[in-house]
Amino acid sequence: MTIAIRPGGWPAWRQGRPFAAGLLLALGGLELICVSWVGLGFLRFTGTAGAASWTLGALFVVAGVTTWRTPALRYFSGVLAAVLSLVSLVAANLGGLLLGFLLTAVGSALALAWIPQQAPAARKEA
Amino acid sequence: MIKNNDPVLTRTGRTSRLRFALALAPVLLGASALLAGTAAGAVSVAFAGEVPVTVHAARVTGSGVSASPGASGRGGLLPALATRVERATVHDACVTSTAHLPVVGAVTAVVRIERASATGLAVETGKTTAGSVKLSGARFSTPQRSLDRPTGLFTVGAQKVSGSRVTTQPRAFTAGTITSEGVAIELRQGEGGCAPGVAR
Repeated sequence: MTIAIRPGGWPAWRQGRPFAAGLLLALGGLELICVSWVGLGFLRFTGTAGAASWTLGALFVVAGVTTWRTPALRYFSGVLAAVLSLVSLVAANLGGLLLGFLLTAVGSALALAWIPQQAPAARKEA
Repeated sequence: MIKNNDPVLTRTGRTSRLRFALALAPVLLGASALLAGTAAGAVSVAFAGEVPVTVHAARVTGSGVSASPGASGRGGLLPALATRVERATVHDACVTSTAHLPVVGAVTAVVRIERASATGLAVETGKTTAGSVKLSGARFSTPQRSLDRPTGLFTVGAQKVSGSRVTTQPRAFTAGTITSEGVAIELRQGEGGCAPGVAR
């Protein structure tokens, strides 16, 4: 596994990718799972909503991590998350009681709105 | 392996506000349409919850009903009646839930529903009362591990069930789809809610 160490450290890593987008997508996915988890504590199964919450939640987390790891795929993960956020409204406890929907909708919009910029030193090499 | 990749070091980014608005607008538009459809009964939603609520309904009908005693709660501490209903419909229902918030105190949410139907409904209830209940195609069974060692549990079932003036306190529920019509939500400070039999 290759680990790229940046001289700028944490701020440079954060600014080099749509950090807020990935964070919101992952948090929204976890929120969907948490809402379903509460139900799982009581019932042995939670039916369609439970299965959809786990599936959608996992996909949101994957989309968030993809946005962080590969910013070039932000359009794919952003559009996917936007569509899935609407699906979560009808399939997963009203989008995790609306909070999960809001987090993932804003996260997907942030992923689509992120524009990479390169410093002059990098442009010379290109 | 540690790699120092110089050209990548200088990459940064910014968020375009215009793009953000353009990306968020269709999602919010779609969500508004879905929520409006849900409130109008045109769109079904899947739901599973553990909210402590009290439900009063003027009339309840269900098909493919089976109920058996069980335990619910963390660690299975509370006795409950686990009921599975293939298809259920409630008329003139009133749902109340009281939450005790840190600063505000007790806040009661009252949801009045003209008609709601659910499929694949599973409910764990602690208490249920009804003014009258009508059963058709009823059955009663006691599952046994072997002929001489009954488990002690039983299952009551019916092809069709209808009840009036029903009050129940579900501890947890899940439904494949829920469709509701005529939904009105009201928030009140303090405890209380719908009186039994006064759903609307």
